[in-house]
Amino acid sequence: MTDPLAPTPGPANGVVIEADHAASRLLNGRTLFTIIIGAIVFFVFARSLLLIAVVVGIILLLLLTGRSLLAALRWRRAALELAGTPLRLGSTNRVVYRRPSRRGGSGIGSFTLTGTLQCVEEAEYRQGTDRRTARATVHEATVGGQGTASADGLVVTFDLPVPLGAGAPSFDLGNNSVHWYLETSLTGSGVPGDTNRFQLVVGPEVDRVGLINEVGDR
Amino acid sequence: MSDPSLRVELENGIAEVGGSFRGRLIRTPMLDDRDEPSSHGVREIRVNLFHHTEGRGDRDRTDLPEVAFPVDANGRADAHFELPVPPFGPISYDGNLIRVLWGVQARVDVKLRLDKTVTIQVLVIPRGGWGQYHGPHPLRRSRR
Repeated sequence: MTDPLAPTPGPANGVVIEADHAASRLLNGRTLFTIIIGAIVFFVFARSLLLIAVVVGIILLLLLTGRSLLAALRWRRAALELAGTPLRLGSTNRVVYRRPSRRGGSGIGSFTLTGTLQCVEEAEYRQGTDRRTARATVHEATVGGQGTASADGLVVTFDLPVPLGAGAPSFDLGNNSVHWYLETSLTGSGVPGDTNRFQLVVGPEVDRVGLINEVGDR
Repeated sequence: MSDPSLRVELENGIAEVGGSFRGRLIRTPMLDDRDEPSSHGVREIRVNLFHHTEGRGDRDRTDLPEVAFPVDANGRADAHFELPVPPFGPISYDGNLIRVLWGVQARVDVKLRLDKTVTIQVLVIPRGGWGQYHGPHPLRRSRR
């Protein structure tokens, strides 16, 4: 049995977690299937309307993924730098968000990052011949910070507290799992308008140092 | 099928991930419901930790490796055991869609008959979680 909570390899001073591909989530198998079937139907029954169908399809795709596509043209994938994973329960972690630019980040003034830390339960079950997944967000908290722009891109440093006793540490037992996500978006002129999602791993360990500090602050 | 002649005593019903459950296994044979000695055909007693889920999703169950204890000619056993908890959990959990329950199971291996079992529910908490995660379902308070 492998350890699912083993630290992710990364640079010597910490770990880097890259954002999920937002566009690939939108362009999933079901969407592709619908587009292909739609195109075949138009081709067979209304050959003259094929061009219109293709144009409508492209417009729909642009509407669905427009922000992500525009962001991908100018910005590279967002990444989070952490001192280490898995994160401990009750810990406060200094996180650096980086969004490297493809063309230089000049011309961007001040901007803010807003993040939502979520603990999500996912339960898969069989219903007839289908597999279904039920999801419940059992913890949600807002984090964020002020960012700086340079020629290399955008950087935001902020604190990410992992609560004690809210949600569960990450686990995946097959049909039942608990995952932690951080969804980020930027606000400001000239910043990418897409939303990034990072999957974090929270380990089954309490940060005693954080706990002592928390008690001391009361 | 439970076995009234088998008793499992735990030093503590709570353990951290990476820790262990220590206990004692005592089997004192008695007459069963057919007035036969319950030691008849008993080969050994096996003890293990397991966890399973309840809730909306299909059930997951994991049985950790068993430890086997011999019985004497009269079917008696008196042994101490230690069952390690995996370092990466999962911990006991009572969420909205999912519950993760841990247990210690002792199984009397009887020749040509259904095995008899004794199960005790236990609690697995995060490392360093003493004092914070000590209730019967440690994360229930997160829903308040």
